[in-house]
Amino acid sequence: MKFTKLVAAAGALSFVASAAAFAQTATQIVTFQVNAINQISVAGAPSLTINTAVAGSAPTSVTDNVSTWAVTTNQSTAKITGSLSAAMPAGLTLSANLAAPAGASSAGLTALSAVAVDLVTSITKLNASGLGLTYQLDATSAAGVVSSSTRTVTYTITGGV
Amino acid sequence: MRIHQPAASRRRLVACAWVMGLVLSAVSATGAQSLSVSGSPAALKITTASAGSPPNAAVNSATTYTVTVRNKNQPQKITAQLDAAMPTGTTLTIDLSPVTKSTSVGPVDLATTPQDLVVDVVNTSSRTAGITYTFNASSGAGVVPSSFRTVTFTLLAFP
Repeated sequence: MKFTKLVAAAGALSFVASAAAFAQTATQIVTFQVNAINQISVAGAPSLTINTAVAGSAPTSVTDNVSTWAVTTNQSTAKITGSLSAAMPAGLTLSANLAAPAGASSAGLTALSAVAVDLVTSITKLNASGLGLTYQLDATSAAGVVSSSTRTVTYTITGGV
Repeated sequence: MRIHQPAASRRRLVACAWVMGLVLSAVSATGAQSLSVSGSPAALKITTASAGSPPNAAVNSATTYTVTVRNKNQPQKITAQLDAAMPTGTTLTIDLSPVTKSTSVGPVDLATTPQDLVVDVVNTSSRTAGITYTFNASSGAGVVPSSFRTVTFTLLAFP
């Protein structure tokens, strides 16, 4: 009887060991996370020159639509603001119009100043590129002749949750 | 008072021999085939993106696996699977470099079902090769707090 039990036990051990040998396993723990990401970029070097008018009217406004912008956000309800590095000369207005990516809202053509203004709102969890960016320069007759000047336009993506 | 019983003694000897044989056979079998990993990789963190593109992937190639098979005429393969699905909009891809004479399937998206990673493993001596993890997330995945998954590698008969 003892002999039978002994052989049975050994057989069982052998079977288990063989099964273990048949399917070896190993494990790794992989930890991951995604942080909040908000990125915006613009492309293009716009230049705007006012050089004509219809008699009786203010100088004719000019537009530049060679620029584009791109955005990536993995948050909800982010927005884009824009501001100038310095105020525009008296009588001149520089405006920007950013086309909205899917699901977002554009403020349309909006005058820029040294104070940030909302240009696009409700941007939620997307990445989009090649979006239209149009600048417009307006001048009153009173602005007179303005020599070539530059302004830096800073776009900021903020407010995502 | 002890009584000498030659027949009983012989049976005990035979039994012991059987037991030792079976145990040694089992130990020998388990010792000849093995699969191990060097540890777990550092956390894969996605922190940035190029504007207009999905978030940049996080990559880790710091860990390795070591494999030995029992018989070069009985090819094995290595599979892997997750203990739970990845969050929506994210993927965890794994790429095992092949050990000598084996073939890597290349980058594979891990899932809760086993995926072949390396096939035709025939090395009967220990061989080590690299493991590369790539963690991707779409913009739509949103912010994902620190989480983890257990990746289970299994060495099985191939094909």
